Amino acid sequence: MNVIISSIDFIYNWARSNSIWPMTFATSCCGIEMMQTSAANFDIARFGSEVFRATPRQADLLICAGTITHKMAPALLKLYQQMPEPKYVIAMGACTCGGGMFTDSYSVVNGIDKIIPVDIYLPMCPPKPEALLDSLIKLQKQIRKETILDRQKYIAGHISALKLDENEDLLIEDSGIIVQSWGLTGDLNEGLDKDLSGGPAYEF
Amino acid sequence: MNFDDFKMMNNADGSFNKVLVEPAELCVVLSYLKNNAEFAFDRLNTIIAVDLGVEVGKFELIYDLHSIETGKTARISVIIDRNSPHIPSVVEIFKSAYFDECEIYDMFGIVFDKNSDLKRLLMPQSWIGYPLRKDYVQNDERLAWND
Repeated sequence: MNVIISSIDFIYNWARSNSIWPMTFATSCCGIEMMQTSAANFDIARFGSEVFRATPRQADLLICAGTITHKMAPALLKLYQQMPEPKYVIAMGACTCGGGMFTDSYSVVNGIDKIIPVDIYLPMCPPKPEALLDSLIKLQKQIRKETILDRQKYIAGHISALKLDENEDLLIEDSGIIVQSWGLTGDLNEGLDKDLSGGPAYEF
Repeated sequence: MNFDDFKMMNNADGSFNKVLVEPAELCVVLSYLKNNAEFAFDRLNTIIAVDLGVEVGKFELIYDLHSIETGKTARISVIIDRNSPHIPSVVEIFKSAYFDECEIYDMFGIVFDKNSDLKRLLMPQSWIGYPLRKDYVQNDERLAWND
């Protein structure tokens, strides 16, 4: 039985690990290095990851390249939830690993592992393209070690710390505290009835 | 109101001086500088807010004016009290000041009187405190997960 499963695992993981499709999620300067990695000099296609998808539903890997602000955090969580399993996350850059130089800032999330589970941490500011390729190879090695029997273990390890409510505000699931309401969706309809053609509405 | 100071604002080498104005006179001065043909400062580049510190107890607001006609730049400085930060709004003179004033209110808590729609621009409306003040400390328990 084990022989059969390990053979299936080998083929399955070989195929999976050599065709990791990343999602383009470049939120700041690390995104430039990510683009550089996919360009001709470094050529991420050598590792089968050249197919950058613009939608989370076709992606296996979320390369979070750049600072995540509180305002971006619900969007990050929603994109992560929209990715089909099995899904992997590379936290690229010092900001996504632990806040980086914005640790004491009022607007920056101190590491995306406060929100979503992270598989590979890549701390530099910003990481060189070689470093991103190295983290991709490490992820491939990690994928090749997995077995299809560990499905439950995988699911247990991929629970996000925060949740989204129906208004897409971030909240802590245990206590139900709404972290902040950034008006990502709720206020969108509010301004529609205003006539903004002449600038802000004032009584002169 | 003596406007001789404003004629000396632009130096020969292209630099310019900052002119200090009382808060009560701000609207009169800006309106004069905009409408007078000699100055014709018809554009408000930006409003800069500076927190001069808790010990000094003052905020400084710098109005950066530009004249498209003459190409000259002017800087009007207003110093207000830190404990009751109120200043008249200039959206009636320069409409573009609306977003500047909202952002300054958001970050420094300076209230612009007669700005009928003053609200936070970048931070959520439920945010506690004004982040760019020198004595700002983040102690909102809703953000404890981020510590």
